[in-house]
Amino acid sequence: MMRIVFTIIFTLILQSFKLFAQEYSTGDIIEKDGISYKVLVTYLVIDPKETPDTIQGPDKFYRSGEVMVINVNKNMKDVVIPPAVDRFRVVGLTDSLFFGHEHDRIWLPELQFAGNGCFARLKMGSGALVIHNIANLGTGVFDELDAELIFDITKKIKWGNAFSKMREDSSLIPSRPKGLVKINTGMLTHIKQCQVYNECYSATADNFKKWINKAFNEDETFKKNDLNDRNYKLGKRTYPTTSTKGKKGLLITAGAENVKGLGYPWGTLTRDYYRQSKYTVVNKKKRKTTYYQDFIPTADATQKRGWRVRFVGKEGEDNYTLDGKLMKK
Amino acid sequence: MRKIALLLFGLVSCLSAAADQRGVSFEKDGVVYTIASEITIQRPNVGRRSGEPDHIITNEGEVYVSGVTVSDSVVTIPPVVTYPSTYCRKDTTVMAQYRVLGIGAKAFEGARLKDLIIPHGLRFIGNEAFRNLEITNGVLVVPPARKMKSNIFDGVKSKVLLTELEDSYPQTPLPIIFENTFENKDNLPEIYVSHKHINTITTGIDKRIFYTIGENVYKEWLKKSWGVILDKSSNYKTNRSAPLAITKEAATFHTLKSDDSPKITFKAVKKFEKTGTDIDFLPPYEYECRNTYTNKKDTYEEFTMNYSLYRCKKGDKYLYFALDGKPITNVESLMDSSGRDPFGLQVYSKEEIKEKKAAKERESKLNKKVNDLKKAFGF
Repeated sequence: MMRIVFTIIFTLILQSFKLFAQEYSTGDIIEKDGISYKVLVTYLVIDPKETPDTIQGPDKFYRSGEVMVINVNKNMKDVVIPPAVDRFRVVGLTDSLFFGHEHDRIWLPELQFAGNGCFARLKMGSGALVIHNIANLGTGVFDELDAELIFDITKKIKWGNAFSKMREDSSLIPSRPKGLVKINTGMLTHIKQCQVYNECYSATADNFKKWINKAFNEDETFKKNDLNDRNYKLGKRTYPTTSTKGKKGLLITAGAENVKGLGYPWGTLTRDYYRQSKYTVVNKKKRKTTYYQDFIPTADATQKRGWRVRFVGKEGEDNYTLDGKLMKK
Repeated sequence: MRKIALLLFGLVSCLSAAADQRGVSFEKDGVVYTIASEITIQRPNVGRRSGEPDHIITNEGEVYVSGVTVSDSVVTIPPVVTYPSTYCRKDTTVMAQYRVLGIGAKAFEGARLKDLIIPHGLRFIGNEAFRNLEITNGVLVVPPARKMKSNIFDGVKSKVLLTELEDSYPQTPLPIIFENTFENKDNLPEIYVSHKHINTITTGIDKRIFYTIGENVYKEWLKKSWGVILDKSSNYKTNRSAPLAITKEAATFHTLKSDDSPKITFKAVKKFEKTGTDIDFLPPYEYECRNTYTNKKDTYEEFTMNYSLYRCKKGDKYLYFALDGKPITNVESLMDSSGRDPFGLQVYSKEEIKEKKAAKERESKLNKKVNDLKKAFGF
């Protein structure tokens, strides 16, 4: 009987380890469906269904954050980069991610960046690569891309030197995909500053859809990949420490910011993508906003209220009670 | 003062005359043209030497493209086509210059050409003009005509590049009238315009059907098709057709260098009988004549003139007048042995001429006999 009880306890401990293992930290690697991701930054969120009244303690917070794709299995026929992995948003693609690869179709979510030479010498079986919004592009991103390039964008893009490549003497020379560059006519203004504006093709409405459909081999389900994994799964990033209607308390917003001048921790990606967590804390009563880099919900048995929130910022550590009162250091 | 005015008038004015050759077609360099109008224009002989006339007469006119007779070759529609005048078909030395005004309905239907080069400034492109046309070079480059009729590009088997969505030469933009040009969307080819032209304000079309291309692609396509034209001039729009330019001074003139002679007013009118599907796109003409000799005012469909007489057409009838306006009743006396009038128009057939000659001979013989009898009986 005792043996059974120990077995159950041991199993539970293992389960808890497993749960713990899912709480990734910055720099961790996540492997899923033939794709490897590196965690760029983490921050604490709550479950979307949680209300402030149910945040009873530190265990109600989950680690969420941003990851970038660092490897894709070369043998995959179709590649689907999801918008999120677990609670981590996919924000970018590392340098030379698809360099020299050959895939039939690639589905990409909205991204923050694509690294240098990311799609260089990529060959597409469907004949076209579809890019959704990628806010920042590195150098030589589409160098000798062996396919058409379709920009299905709705926002401005920082083109960088995406259509140039660097020679040995560090000078840049124009570098274009082998296929045509295509865009939605309504978005032409977004490409006006780019080197390929004078060489690109555009179409509207149905004609543009035809291009996209062709790129996805007329597969309606393939182009709906973005619907499979929405950001709501990532967790609620803004949450109060007291009830929403209460006049006291803190309103915490978890997120990340670019940090410059701290080097290049992940290869040669542009420094803009060195990310650090950022918590925006608003004191509801005093209407004062403070920014912190770290957030530690802390259980403290000595406190009558049960638990408190601790933040670490540039000027050190601050502890608050749940109703927003700054505790003495 | 009056003499100076007359002298100036003589130098500046272009006396014009026309014969309606509508419906007459001819073929040149693989393209079939249908004549819309032909006018004799008398222009000042600038730089003439002594002994030469102070003005020269040229035949000018307007045609539209109505067909093509070749395949698998480059077909060029020139802005102006030179061909023996329809007035003097037998005399091939008299050439007329015809301005190409448009492309007729179904003119290139089902054709297979290496390339088709169309000039700027056309007045119209008719219904289904390029229906099922195939350009083996890949791109059909089409400068916009002022009036684009229905389903022009129906079933075209190559890409189509519209060079602009308005006509802007030399600078003032002129809107293009699209009349159901892209109505049959299911059968449209890929129609391209340049990025910078897609925002041109247009009426009557849904611009969502267009694909657009960047400036470099645009220039590349133009160069591929219009290489020869671009080599001659950097501004390809100079390769353009224009309707006959009749100045205000030339539109009203006297048959003689005298204000007392008949006054002819030449003008384009809006209404004219439709003798063909595309005629209604062309400017029909009429000539108003105030005859000071007969003191009558009349309107004619045609008018032509030489140094001694002028000819007008009203309905089916041709009327001849001396330059002072005196009607010529003895028309037969003007005809040559083949039945042509002094302007080369075949008025009588050979049989009619033979018959008239025989009748004249019979009449003269009869008159002679009557005279002989009168003499014999002492009348």
